[in-house]
Amino acid sequence: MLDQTNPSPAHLQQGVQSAIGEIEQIIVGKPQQVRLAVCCLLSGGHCLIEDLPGVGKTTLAHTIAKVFNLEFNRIQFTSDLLPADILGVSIFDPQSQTFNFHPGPIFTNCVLADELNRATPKTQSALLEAMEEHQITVEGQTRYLDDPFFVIGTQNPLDQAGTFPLPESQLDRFMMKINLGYPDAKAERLLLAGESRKDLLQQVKAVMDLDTVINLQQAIQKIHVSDALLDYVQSLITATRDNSRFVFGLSPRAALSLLKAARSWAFMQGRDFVEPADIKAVFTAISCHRLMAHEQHSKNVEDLVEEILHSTAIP
Amino acid sequence: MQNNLPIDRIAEETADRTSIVAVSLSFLVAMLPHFFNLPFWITGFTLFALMWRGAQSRGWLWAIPRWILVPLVLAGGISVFAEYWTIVGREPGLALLTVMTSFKFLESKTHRDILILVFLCYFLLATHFLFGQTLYIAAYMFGALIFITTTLITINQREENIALSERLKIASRLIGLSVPIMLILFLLVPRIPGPIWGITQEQRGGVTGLSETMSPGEISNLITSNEVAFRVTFDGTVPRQDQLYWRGPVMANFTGRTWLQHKHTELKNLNVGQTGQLVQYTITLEPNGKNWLFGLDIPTGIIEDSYMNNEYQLTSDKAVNDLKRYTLSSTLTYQLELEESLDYLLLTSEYPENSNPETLALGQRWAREYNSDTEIVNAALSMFRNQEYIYTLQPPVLGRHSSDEFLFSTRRGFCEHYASSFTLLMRAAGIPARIVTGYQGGEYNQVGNYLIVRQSDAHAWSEVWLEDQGWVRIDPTAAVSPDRIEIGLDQALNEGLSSFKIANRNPLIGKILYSWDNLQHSWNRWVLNYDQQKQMRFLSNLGLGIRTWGDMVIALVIGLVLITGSYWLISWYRDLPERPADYEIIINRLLKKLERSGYQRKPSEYLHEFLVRIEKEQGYQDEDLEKIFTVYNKIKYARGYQRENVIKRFRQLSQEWRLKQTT
Repeated sequence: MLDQTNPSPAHLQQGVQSAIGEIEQIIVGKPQQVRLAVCCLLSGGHCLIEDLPGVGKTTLAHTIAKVFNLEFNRIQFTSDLLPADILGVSIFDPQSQTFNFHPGPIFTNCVLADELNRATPKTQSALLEAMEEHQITVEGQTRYLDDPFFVIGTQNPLDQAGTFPLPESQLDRFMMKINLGYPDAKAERLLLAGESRKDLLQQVKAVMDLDTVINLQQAIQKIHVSDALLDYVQSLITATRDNSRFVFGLSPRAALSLLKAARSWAFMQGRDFVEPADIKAVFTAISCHRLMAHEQHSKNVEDLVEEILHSTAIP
Repeated sequence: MQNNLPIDRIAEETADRTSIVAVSLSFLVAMLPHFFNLPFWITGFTLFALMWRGAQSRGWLWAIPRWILVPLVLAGGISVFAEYWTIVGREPGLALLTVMTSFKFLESKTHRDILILVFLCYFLLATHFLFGQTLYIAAYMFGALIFITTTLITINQREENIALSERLKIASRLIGLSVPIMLILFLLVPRIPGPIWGITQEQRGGVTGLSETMSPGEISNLITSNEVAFRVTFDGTVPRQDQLYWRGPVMANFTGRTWLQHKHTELKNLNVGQTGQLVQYTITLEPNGKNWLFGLDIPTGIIEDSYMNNEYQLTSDKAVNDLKRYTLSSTLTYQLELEESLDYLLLTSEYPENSNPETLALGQRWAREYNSDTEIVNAALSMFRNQEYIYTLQPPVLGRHSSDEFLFSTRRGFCEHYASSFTLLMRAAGIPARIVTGYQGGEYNQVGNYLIVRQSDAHAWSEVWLEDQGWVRIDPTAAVSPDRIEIGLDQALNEGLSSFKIANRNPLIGKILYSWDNLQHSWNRWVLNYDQQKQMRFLSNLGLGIRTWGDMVIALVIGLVLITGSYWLISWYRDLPERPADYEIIINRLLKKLERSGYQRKPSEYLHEFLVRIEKEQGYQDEDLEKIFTVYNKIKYARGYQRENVIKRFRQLSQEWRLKQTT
């Protein structure tokens, strides 16, 4: 386990690689998604997984938490879930004649917010605000959340009855959206033939401690991005804004997220500088959930984003 | 301080301490060599003013109020007048300028005052050329110019806080850029003959050299001077050392102790019976403040603005106050004035009867004993050769009968003792004789191929008139046996006789010294001697058709326009958008190569994406290309790879790369 207080970049690099290897033992046949999720964690962002039930969203979240030694809580969002159920509540203690704060499930390193869109907007925004600020205010008192703090939200694209889909402005708080999709035949066969995921999950070993994760996040912020690539990021963002087929373009926060994620991606590739490839690799995951196509267009957002990638010249 | 203030507001701002210190230092630098030219009290007052202003800027002293300053300024002006009894001219003008600048320091408050002071420093610096024009002064002024310009930058920088080294660099660049303009002005501004600003002889003091009279001890004072008297370039070979007698003032009148120049007349026709080969040479004469021009014994002609006097001394019409360059030819074997006038022969046979009785007696005895004049001359020379006469630089002090004391008791002397006694002996024996002073020998500078004649080469010798030979040069000093030249002479001389000089030193040091002297010689020839005549010759040799002053002015304007125009062009070119970097040119060349093979990179494709496409179509893994692309990405996107060696390697890799032909 990687637990030195100040390990070298090469060490950190190795740690990340073995973490990814460990996760791929459990999540079979989804290397890109696994990497994007890790990238998201390393960038200090949060991750939205939108997919059908049963494709392994929970398993992915669980595995990541375990591998990175994160304390893990799961919150199942329902229509009657209240903000206090997430954040915590003060309860009167008759013995000491005081109110004692009982922290909610959000006081942890990794939260799986399952089926976000089932809860009421009030409850949703309680979570989203906590994600953004890394702190919550309950009864006038500000309490800081743990560091690292990583939220994996899931949405069910089908079965929309009685749900409150997150508006685009709220989705912006998630750094990436990852689609897991069905496993391919070979992976599915492995899944069927092998041990149960639950048992396997028990065997997963943590590869680093919390301090190392924080170190990693800090080291990644120092990855060099040249001016030429800042130009590239800007022209990508501008392309989404100038494209009439989108209702609106990407926000500055999206641009910052793109840079952060590209840095992490470069680090995961073993480099200390960002290349155009890193930006291209994370661009789709970062932009798709933040953009909305006009309805008269037949193409979906993913295709439009691909088009932008194909039409924007690399400086 | 703010940058966006209007210029007149900036000018009225109170000067800060840095500005005052910087401009004070500039003033000191501009003045430093002048402190030797000015009376002591002016130097003192200047230093006082600077210190007061410095203390004032630190808050230790108060500013002197105007009602005290105004009377003081008047008093300063009067003091300068009292010192010189004029305020016109070189020294008084400089003194007045210095005193008034010092007052300006005491009065200075604002940025505008400081600017005025900086420009006064520039002006003061230029005045150095009124006092001397040597290479040393030019070099000093160049350094001082950079210093003052740095000050100008310092006081005008506001929030920029440019590092001192950077300011020095900017100043040096500015001065450097002005050099071509300086050269054009130097070459093309029409020269006016004559010294600048009518500086007359009186105003040039302190020239060492031969004097108009000769008494024992005078030349030996000169011999410790290392100063250059003149430099000579010979056409052809340099004559032997013992032939190098540089003729100067001739002295025919004798008072019993001191030899004086006879009132001479202009020689109408040169009566040199030339027998030997002519030697031609060019002399660059340092200023001597006298009318004397030196030539190798005996010049066969004269030069412009000069005449030959009846004692065959080449004489200039005007005192030599500036460097003078002239070409002469001389004959080393000659017959001089076979038919000398009787008056002059009588004059050169005279001697005061009441002094040096023993010398006179000896001369008269020889006249009786020997049959011919030649025998008498030989008798005298053999006396110096065979008796215990010693050649020394520190001869004993002689009394009234100097010749008697030297010949018969002390027997220790320098060239003037020998020449003086010998000449007197000859006159006593009835042979017309005279003293010739000048220089003997010279030191050959093999670096510049010329002869250096120094003040230490000063010499005195005799000439006797023999009936069938005319004036014949006799050097009695040369008759003294070489083994009686006092040991330790070179130490006593320190920088003494030419034979003890540069040539005898460590070869490396000698070479450096010769090169330095050569540099000075070139400076004299090409810069100081660039007069009207030289300018005309230089310009006509250029072949640009510059012949008149009008042409020069036109050429001057064209030259200045060309230089400033080229500066403008350079700065315009530098402001152009940057050329694509080398590595971009290299990768574009490689991509062109790929394009010819049918692989075109899409603009949105990064290189490794493109590589994957190529490899798929080619059907093999191109590791070389991958490496090239990786290096390119490092150079372009990473930090610290835009180094020459990396780019060189990158260039090499991409030039060597070829697409393999697949079947």
